[in-house]
Amino acid sequence: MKLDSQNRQLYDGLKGEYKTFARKMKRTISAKCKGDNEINDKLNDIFGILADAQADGRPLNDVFPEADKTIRVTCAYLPAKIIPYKGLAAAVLCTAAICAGMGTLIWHYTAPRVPCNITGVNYNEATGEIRWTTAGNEYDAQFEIFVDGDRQATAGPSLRSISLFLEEGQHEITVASTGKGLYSATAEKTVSVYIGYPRTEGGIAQFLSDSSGGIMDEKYDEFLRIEPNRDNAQGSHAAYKVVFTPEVTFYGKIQPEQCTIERFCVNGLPRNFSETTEFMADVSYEFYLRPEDPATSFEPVLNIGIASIFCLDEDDAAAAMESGKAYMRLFGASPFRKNKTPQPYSASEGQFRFSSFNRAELPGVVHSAADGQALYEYTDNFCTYFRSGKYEDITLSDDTSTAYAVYYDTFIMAYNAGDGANKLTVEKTTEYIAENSMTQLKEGYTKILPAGDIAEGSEVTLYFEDGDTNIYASDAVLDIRLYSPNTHSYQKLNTSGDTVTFTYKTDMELVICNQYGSGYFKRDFCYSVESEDDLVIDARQITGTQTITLKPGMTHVIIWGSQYYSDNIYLICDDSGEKIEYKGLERAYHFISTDGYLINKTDHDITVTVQSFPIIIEH
Amino acid sequence: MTTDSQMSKGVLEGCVMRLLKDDYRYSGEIVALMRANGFGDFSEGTLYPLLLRLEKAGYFDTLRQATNNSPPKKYYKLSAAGRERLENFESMWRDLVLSVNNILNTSGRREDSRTDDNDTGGTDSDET
Repeated sequence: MKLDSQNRQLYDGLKGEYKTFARKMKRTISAKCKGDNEINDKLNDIFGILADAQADGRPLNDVFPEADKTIRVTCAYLPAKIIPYKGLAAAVLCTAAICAGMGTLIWHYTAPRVPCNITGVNYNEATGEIRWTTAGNEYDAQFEIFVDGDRQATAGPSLRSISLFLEEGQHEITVASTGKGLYSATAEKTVSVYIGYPRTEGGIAQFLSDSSGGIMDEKYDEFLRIEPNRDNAQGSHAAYKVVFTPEVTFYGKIQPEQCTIERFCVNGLPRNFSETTEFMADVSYEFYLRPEDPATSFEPVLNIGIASIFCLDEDDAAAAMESGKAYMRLFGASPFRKNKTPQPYSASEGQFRFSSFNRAELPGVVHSAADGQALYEYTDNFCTYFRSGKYEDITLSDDTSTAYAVYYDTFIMAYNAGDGANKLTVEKTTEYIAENSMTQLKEGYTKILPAGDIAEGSEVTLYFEDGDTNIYASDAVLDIRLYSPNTHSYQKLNTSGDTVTFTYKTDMELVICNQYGSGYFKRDFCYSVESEDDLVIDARQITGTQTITLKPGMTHVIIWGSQYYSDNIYLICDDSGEKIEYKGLERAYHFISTDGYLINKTDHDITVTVQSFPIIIEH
Repeated sequence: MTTDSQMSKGVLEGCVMRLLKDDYRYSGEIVALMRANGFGDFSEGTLYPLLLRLEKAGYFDTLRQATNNSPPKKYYKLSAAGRERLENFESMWRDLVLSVNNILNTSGRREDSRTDDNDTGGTDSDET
């Protein structure tokens, strides 16, 4: 502390005991107080008093009887200075801290790192537990567990095992210590394990109770249980396995209903899918069902539906899984562009979806397969017999063309009266043309024809779809005609599932023709020749005059298409030298049967003429 | 006069404040006035702590002024707050003096009365 000029002057003027007191005052205040201005102000007061007292000749004792007290009081009214020894102590502490930090740093870079060794990794199939051991390093405090490279869990300091059920197969399990410590080094250990769960039975197909009574919505609720009751600390854990083998050819979608299903693994398909999965025909599938929570027991239920994606539009998804709507739908080829990779369900690969008759009336099913054909045998002995369609690439066009391919899908149903022989075959052929990725049903026809002995009086029920128009049956002898329900000609059936029931009789010929578009008959005519005794002529195929030679055994002549040429068809039978002209007839066969012009002779030719001249049938 | 420190503490403060009510005075002048008014042992050692305390409390207006070629001295005078405090002191002092005087005066009369009674009674007994 430095005295200002006034205080210096006063201080210098003091003498004797006044000087001594002033010095003590100055030193004490300088040592304990801070603030030069404040100190000089107070000292000026004191020094001024001392100077006056000295001038008056008063003794110091008379002025300040308690000199030390005066000094203490004066100090008390001044700002205190930090005590020096505290600063020293602080400096010592700081130095010590810096030294400690440097020591730690040096140790950090020079101390050896201790590896956190994982000494063993094991997997217990029975408990689903991954267990590992360590070398006991104090830094083995945090672990990460990987399976096939994917981190599955993190374990804390006291854990040496976790529960983790693995799928069947080869896996690599890695346990890594993350080594939380300055001088630790991380370590990991990987083992390869093969998980082969014991199976109580072989991988056989489980086609179990069909509680819903049909094939469209198979409910599988009794699964092959491959891991019965795994009891562990977390509770009961069960897994189920369902295997479908190639013995069954079906094409459908499968969807787990249990929300607790965690894993739904199908070989060859993505894991952990939870939505609908599409199965392909002639492919084996197996999948596991496991609860999401190991402590939760569950009863898995699967619904398998056979979808009909071969529908006429692209709304395949809507058609899928709609069990119960199992009407006989027309087939539809899945559209695909010719220069693209065909979808697996394209007709070109011979796979197609189907739907069958109303399953509610045709319950029960046993599946079998033969030569790529799926045979569905119903308990009522009505058989459906499916055959793959064929694919013809008839158009070699580029992507901008409207037509790429034509599909001919054939659907054959066989009626079995119970004696093992097909009695009736319903064959339905549909032509599809894929246009710009759209599948359109162009035309088609269906014919029903006897395929053997059908007992007279047997009832055959047919279901028709939209587009199954102009359904009629004829029998040249018995004059049985069957038209579309409640109609007599070419009106379109309005509702899918409309039925027509008739009593079949021997030698009856049934013909069902599909017609699309008003007044347009398809590319081919519908015909059926059931025996060599019949001669069927498509009038539209004839231009001019055509002479057909009757073969031995032919008993009937049936002319189709005559309705379009009713004014122009002439049938001439000149066997007897008689030339008969028929004109304005609605149906050729009608004409034949009702008028008794049975051509029952052999070795004769028939001349049919279409146009504006008679049809000539020559014998 | 020697004054008991505990008793005189508040009294001295009031007296110093009264001396500084109307005029600026410096420490030597205050000491001289106090001594002239009967506080013979009053010194700068007593005054200075008192001035420090009252100045810090805001009861003084101060100024530093030089006179007669001597070093500047610090002069003190009551501020408004100091005057209010002085008024309180004076009021309390008057009450205190009255109370103390009453006690002192009453006790004196009783002592005198008791002495008179004892003298009279003795005479009467002797007379009887």
